Amino acid sequence: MYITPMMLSSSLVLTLNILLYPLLMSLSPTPQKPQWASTHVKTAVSTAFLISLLPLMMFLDQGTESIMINWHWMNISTFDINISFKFDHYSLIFTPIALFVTWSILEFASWYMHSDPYMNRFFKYLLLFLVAMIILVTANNMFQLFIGWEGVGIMSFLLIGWWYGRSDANTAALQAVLYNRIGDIGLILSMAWIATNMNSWEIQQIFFLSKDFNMTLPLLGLILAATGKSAQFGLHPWLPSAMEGPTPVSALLHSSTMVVAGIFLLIRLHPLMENNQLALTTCLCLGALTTLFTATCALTQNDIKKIVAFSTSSQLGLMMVTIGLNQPQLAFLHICTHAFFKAMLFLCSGSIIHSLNDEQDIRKMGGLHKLMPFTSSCLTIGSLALTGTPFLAGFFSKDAIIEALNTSHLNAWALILTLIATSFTAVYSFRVVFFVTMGTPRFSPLSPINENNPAVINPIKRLAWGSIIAGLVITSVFLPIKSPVMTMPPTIKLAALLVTILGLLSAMELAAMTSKQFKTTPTLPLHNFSNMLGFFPATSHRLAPKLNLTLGQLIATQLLDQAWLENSGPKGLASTQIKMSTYASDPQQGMIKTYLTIFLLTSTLAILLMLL
Amino acid sequence: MLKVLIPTIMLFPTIWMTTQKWLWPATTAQSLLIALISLTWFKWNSETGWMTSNFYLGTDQLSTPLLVLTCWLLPLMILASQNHINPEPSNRQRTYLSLMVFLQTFLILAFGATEIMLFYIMFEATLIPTLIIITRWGNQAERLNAGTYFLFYTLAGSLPLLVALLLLQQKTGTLSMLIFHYSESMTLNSWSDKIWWAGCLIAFLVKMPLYGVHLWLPKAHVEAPVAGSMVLAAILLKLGGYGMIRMTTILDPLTKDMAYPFIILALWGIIMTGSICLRQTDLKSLIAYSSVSHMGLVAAGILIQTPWGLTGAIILMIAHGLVSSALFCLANTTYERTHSRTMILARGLQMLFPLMASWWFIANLANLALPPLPNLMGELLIISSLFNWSYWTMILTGMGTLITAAYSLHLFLSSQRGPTPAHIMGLYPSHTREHLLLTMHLFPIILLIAKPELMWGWCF
Repeated sequence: MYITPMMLSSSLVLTLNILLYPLLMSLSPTPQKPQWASTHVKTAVSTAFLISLLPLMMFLDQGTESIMINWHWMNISTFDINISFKFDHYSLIFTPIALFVTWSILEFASWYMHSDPYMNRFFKYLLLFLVAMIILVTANNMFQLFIGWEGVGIMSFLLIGWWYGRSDANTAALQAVLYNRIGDIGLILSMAWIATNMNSWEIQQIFFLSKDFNMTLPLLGLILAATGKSAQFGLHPWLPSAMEGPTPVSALLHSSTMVVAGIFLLIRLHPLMENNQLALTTCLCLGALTTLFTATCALTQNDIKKIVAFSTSSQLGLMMVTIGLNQPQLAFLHICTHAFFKAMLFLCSGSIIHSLNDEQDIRKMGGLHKLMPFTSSCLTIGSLALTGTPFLAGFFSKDAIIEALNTSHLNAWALILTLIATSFTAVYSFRVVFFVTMGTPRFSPLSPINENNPAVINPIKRLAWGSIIAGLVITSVFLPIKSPVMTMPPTIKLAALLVTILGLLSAMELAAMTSKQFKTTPTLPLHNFSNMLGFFPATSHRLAPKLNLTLGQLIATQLLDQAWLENSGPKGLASTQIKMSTYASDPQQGMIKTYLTIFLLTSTLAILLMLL
Repeated sequence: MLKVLIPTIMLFPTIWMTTQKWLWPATTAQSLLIALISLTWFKWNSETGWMTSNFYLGTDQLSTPLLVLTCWLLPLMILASQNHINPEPSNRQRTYLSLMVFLQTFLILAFGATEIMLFYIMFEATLIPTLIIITRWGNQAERLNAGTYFLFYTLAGSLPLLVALLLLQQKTGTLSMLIFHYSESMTLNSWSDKIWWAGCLIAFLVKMPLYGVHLWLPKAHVEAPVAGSMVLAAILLKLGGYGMIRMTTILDPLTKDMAYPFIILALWGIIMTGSICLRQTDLKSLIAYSSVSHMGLVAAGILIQTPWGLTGAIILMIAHGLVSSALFCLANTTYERTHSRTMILARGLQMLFPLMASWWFIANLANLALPPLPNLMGELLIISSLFNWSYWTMILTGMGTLITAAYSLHLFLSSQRGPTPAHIMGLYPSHTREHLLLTMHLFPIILLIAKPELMWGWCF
């Protein structure tokens, strides 16, 4: 047995087991100590992170990858389902990042949720959420992937609905699951198709066998799945609603779990779609539409978490565009860098929200750079990284994506939408920074502002380091499989930066007008479109459930079950029989004399007839 | 077989001889022991498929999971009804228990029968104790109506079956399942053959129930006491599925064409009953309609006649049996405290019964088929085989999964989450008995994840 693969597999299994340990521990009937969350859950995650660095280093050094088949789970005649893990470059890089980000978020949560009576349970849920995501990422089998896929869905239901006394939180949780379920239909379709045509759910076998098939239908299913999970246009409304959950949940949901799962699915199964133009174009256009639409929605939101949420949605659209460009590695790179700064942005907003007595409206913030210098600088770093400022994390992935987009000869429409969305990124990021940190305070004078707690500072600091250097580190060790086009005209090379600067300049110009009376009557239609989220929730988001519920009440219950089926079945039968039974019972009135007379008469007649 | 059957029959002396003090513990213990013994059926080492057979009875891969489920459910029924039967006079308690034991005996005979006529007789015999349980121990006056519906729907379906079976006996000379497959195939092409086909299956489709002939089910479920609802949902519906799987082997050439309208009805029923669930106000009725919806999937899986479809149908029958029974138990715990089945009156219960809330959550997750629970395995296999049959079924089954998720979570959210209304503050806490009951429902589901082959029928 060679030492390298053995170490690789065993340390990865160790990582998973360490994460499972607190979960198993929580099954014990004795209640855990109040500090269990910090001492056990957080420690488990940080230990797991450190251990997972070992296989990462081995991968970076020697390129070790492996597939591990542990247990033959079941077989349906000739169809095998195994527990098998795939430790390739995607999962080897993503797992440490997810663990690192989660570690920071858990530490932050120990401060943010300190007054919650069920903090241990909260941490357990977060851990389970992470474990589900790691199962998804390392799965080498569609069924196992599906377990992780649904696992993150259900955990998000529990976490978004954490404050279950509020009906908004419950609605948001339900929304998340239902939109994801629409996506699941796509995944189930693909799984059914693959099972019936290829007779295997093992991913490498699917890759091998897919060469002979027209994969359009299952690929569209997968795209639908990714649309639901990654909140692409059409199935996006759950993502901003999910902000009802506590901020650590939003941070975890948006950075390294759940929402990137859809994109990850497409990255994982990308060899299936790389030659299928229809699927690629669908991804490209869907992604471009998403990124622009959600960036537009982000422009005029006033809730700080909603802005960050919409920016995630917009970045997810960008990742989808990248998959449409046939560049899964770039999309993966963007997932990795995005995890750092998005988690940090959420933690910063959480810190601000907490400090301002649970105030989320950016119009009621302002001037925080004096009162919370650390948080506001990190917020700024995060926003800069998000907009793709050179040499911060976002730059390495975002710029590469836009360059790849510019040099490809694909859809110019998608290109333009993406570029506009990129400039919008600068606008809404600047707007957050402007409203939150600059200017004068607009909050109540007695806010409990205090960021001097290691549980706030350390996680944000770690993530800030990540947002600064992660892009450089990952791009320098993770070589692209497809050789990128490196030479291009300056305008194309600088396109991403140019549109960003353009966006920033116009945003600054707009910001300068906030204190001036420029137009007495503002032009509202465009603002309303953006502020009302493109009227999407008011129309289709509302229409479909309403129709379905009406169908359930009027057609299914009242018309069919209570009217047609009852009346044509039992009640109809009864009412037709009633007539007959009345006819039969009417003559029998108990008039014994008449009966006897008739009896006598007929029997005499009969006897007479017989005698004759 | 007799290892289980005789101890089951010996439950009657136990019920009528023990003192009142030991009545419930003794019956529970004995029935649990029977359930334990029944697990030995899972040991398959024969090549032929039929095991532990004697002259009339036997087990095979299809009937074993259902038989074990039957044996497993009796102690659970006893546990569940303990609270609401206890105030009654001793003799009535004993009668009630005897009825459940009668039911179990008939069910073991039905699932274990190797002869279709014996199966048919037992299939009919189960009606009697169930009818008495519903109409005598139901809570409202509507129980009589429910009993009528239950009896007449089932009888109207199954009397044609008797004629069809006699006809079959006359044609092939045997009704034994052991040698069924070897009888020479019949030429079926006339109209009367088609009517015969329908006669063979409609009894089971009514029992399943298929959408359109399902009206008896919500009524029976709603009016029955908890044990009645449990056994109806968990086992009696499965008699239909079991009978269909047995009968379709001989109906082969006709099924391909004749099944179309039934498959369509079943799939359409998934959506319609699911939509009804979304607007349901009555807790037990919601669970009942959800049963109809799941059974639609089972019926479709059986009717398309593929190995995957059959396997999926068996898995879903077992998994749904345990889960819907668990849901009825949960509904009953709420009902015993609030004395109402109206959903809007019992909200925010998580604050009062935190552990109950987690049972609700697990049961609802199982109901909406969360991977890797067996419910999902069953649904996935059926959906795959339906998809293979026609791509368009995906729209219906996919919508079905969506709606199932919607109403399951709606049930969970509206009953457990949200603020607790002021009028239900004075509820007494949950018993250990109830937690035990739910553990015994949900634990098998979770354990079956590890070894689903136990209920995979012939695909093993």
